Amino acid sequence: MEVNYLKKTTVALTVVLIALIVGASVYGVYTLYSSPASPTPSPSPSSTPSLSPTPQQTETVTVVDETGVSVEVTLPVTRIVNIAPGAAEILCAIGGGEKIVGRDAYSTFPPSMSAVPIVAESSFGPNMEQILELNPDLIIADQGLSDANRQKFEAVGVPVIVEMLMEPRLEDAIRNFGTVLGELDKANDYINFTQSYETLVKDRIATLSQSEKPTVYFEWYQPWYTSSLGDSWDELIVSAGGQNIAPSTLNVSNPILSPEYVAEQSPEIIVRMLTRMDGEDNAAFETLRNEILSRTGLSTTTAVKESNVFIIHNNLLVLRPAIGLLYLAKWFHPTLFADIDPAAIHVQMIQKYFGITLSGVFAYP
Amino acid sequence: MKLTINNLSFTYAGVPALSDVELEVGTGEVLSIVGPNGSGKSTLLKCINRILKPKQNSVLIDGKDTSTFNLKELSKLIGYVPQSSTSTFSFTVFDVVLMGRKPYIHWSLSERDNEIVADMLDFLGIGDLAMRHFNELSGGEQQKVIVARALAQQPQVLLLDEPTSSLDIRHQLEILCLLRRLALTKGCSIIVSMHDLNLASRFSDRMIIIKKGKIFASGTPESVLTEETIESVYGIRCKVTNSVLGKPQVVPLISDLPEETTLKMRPEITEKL
Amino acid sequence: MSTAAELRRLYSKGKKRKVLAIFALFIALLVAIVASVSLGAGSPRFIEAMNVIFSRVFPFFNINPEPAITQFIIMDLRLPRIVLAIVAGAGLAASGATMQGVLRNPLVSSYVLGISAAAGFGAALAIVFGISVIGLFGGYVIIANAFLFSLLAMVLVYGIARMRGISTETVILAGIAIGFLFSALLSLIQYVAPENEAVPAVVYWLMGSLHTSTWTSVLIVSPIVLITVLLMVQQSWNINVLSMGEDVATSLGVNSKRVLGINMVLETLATASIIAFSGVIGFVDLISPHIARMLIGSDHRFLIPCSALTGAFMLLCSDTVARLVLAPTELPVGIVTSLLGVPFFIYILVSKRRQSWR
Repeated sequence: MEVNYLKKTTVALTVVLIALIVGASVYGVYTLYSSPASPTPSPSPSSTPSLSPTPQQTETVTVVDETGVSVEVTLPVTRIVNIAPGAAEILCAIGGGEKIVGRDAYSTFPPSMSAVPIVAESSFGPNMEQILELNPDLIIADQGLSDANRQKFEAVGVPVIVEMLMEPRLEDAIRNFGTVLGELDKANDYINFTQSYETLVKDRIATLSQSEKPTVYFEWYQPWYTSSLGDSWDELIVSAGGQNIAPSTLNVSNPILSPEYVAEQSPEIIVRMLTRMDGEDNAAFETLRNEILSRTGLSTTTAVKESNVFIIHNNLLVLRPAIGLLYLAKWFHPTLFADIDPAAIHVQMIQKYFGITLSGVFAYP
Repeated sequence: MKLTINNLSFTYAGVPALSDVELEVGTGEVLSIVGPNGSGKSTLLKCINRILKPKQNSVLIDGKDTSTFNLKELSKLIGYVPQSSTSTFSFTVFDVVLMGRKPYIHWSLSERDNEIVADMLDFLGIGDLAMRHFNELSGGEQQKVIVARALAQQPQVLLLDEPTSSLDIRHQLEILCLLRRLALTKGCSIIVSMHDLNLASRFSDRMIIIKKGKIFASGTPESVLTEETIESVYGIRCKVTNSVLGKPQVVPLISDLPEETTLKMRPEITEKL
Repeated sequence: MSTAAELRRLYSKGKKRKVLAIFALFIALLVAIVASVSLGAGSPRFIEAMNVIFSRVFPFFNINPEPAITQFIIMDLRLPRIVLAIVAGAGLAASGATMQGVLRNPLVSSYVLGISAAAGFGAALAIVFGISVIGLFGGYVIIANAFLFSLLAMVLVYGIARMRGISTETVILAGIAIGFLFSALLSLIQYVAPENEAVPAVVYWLMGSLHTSTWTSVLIVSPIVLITVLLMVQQSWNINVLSMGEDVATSLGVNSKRVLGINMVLETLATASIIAFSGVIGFVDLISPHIARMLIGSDHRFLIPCSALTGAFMLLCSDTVARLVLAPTELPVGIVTSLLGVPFFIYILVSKRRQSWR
């Protein structure tokens, strides 16, 4: 009896512990390697039942979206349900704003979006019934949309384009949107606008030697969370003429950097990203900057000693990277970009593409 | 030391478990409580000990109401040996007996505490078990350890809840002889609940017999253990004879038990009984 | 037959062995401290670290001072983190030992009592929405929220258990129920988190990590842990007695309900203050008491300190590995604790003949 009990307990405990090991590993691996940028090519749905050919002449276009799926869209598109938060802005910029009939809860720019009904919290949680009742002829989502949900939409004949709206795919996504809206010219114009500034920065920093490029510690979201070599924010830093101190050997997305490593690297510039959740007013920027300036682990760095600490709104790094690039470039090389006023260009861009006057803070100081 | 119980009643969630119990135990006296399963023996012991708290307390020690004592004071007066003991975590026998010193210690142990524990182990003849683990002992050994722990409290009243129920005959006798020895040498008042009427008869000065929470009879074993009493309490007939020890001995008869319980017996045996 | 004197000699011999085991653990911890202070993503190693520390302890003896950055790395980055690992490990493990003892259940941990889940929910609320129950709290929103929600969980568990007359079963069941409640709320938050960045941040927090340790956090956590652990040790006799059951405890003059209440408060205060700063570090509070019990037995007078030392050692080693394994990137310490601790624990479990609980 006693022995039996011991045996049972041991077996039970062992099973629990092994489950713990497996659980912890899976959990760890999941968080470490579930990078948002790894596209999983899902098999394209086997020949979606094409609707019976309608007598009037229809034109179809095919675009390849972020997941590698070739999506066939029947033109003209007139009713779009957009549940990818960044996409609304781009659709509006290239003349498709009127066609959005449903949106996710976070697509709030431009302000005209507030009149569009919300049919999803985000792509993770679409309200299938509401969306289908809107009778859309195109759904735009990000990678939060599950394969199962995507297949459900496609099964009823509604094409789905999945785009994350982030570098390095941003231009492809914009072009895709231009194609399906029949506004490829406008899309190219939008791309050209941003590319002109990218070229400007590229040309000016081309002559810089490596030693003239400041070392940069980039931080997002929480203390010591950085961006490793090769991801979109790292590329932005390099494009702006900086050197990211995060080591290139990392194979971890969203790594946490060791404070003592940062102290030894002593970056010359610190850039911290601000998101909607930090607040978006002046005080929020100031709070973030003060936290970094007073953080013990950073107190010995050149950046903090010389107050080279900058806060940038995450929209400028994700959706409007050209503006973000200008800010970064000017922070990294103030004399080289003395004639450039990123804020003014930002205002001009918003005026041009959305016809509204920009308000609010996007970078600090 | 005199323990008096006046008019004690107790209910479990409205169901009466004890009513109007009255008894008295004097110094060095061994009182046994007998009665059928569920008659309230354990409840009575727990009420004396204030593990259960009757609405109206009526347990007095030397005339003082026990509800005016705090738990710690009471634990220096009354020791308790539960029906069965297990320990969630593994302790050595010495550690278990040391717990009996809890009412007297705050943090550090005095030399005297160790001495008392060692003496008690010695007294019960279980010194060689001292460093063994309590959970690994046999039932009889465990029972002795628990008695040793209760004795380490240096109580004046010792309550034991069916201490012999799960023991072999040798351990039964050992434990009960020990109780008599305690009563005699240390002047302990001992209240012990039991099932075995013959053992109770043999080892106690006085007995009470409980039926459905009420004292049915009390007094010397000779006055309590009558054929009529046993029949009306337990519902069986028996012969009460005088044992070789001069104490009443109960021999139950099974001839009038329900037929299905005796069916397997050979008729000649059934008739004899 | 042993004589009484012989018995006392035997007992004090056993006691000496326990003290010796605790001393050995202490030495192991010291070695771990020296190793930990000599290793890291930064360049300072043993010689530099010792130089810095000795020059701080004996300023007059400072012959060739290390560069400021080395001093900074040792004194302001490594040491506070090491101290916090020790304090957190000790506090969690002591709490675990105490609650397992009081609730007479070897599977009890801060997870079972709902404290971890509540802390996680509080932290996630702050991380994702910046919502705090006490308004803005500077940079301490997450910490304050995690702490307050842990206390809230304890109050809820106690309240529910109270309604049915406090007993070990009701406390554990109420704890599990409250734990599930907060886990569900936590999942809800992760599900509706508006920005993609928020979810990994919450997940990191739930895995626990010590990379944000500063002397300030050490100064806040240490006194709470020190005082609560001392008070837990003071409860040792009560907990020992409770191990034999509530009836026996009562007959030995111990009010089991009061002991349970007191220890719940102590445990929650210690655990909540720790995980508020470190994130949810699981496993240490579950396993350290078992290892300690296997080493020195169940007498809580020795078990609680021994468990605390085991926990401190475990967490410090895990955190050092977490700092090193992917350096200069940090691994969440919770992962390492389990990955290192489980095999070690299984080894002890199968190699020990005696079972220390039932």
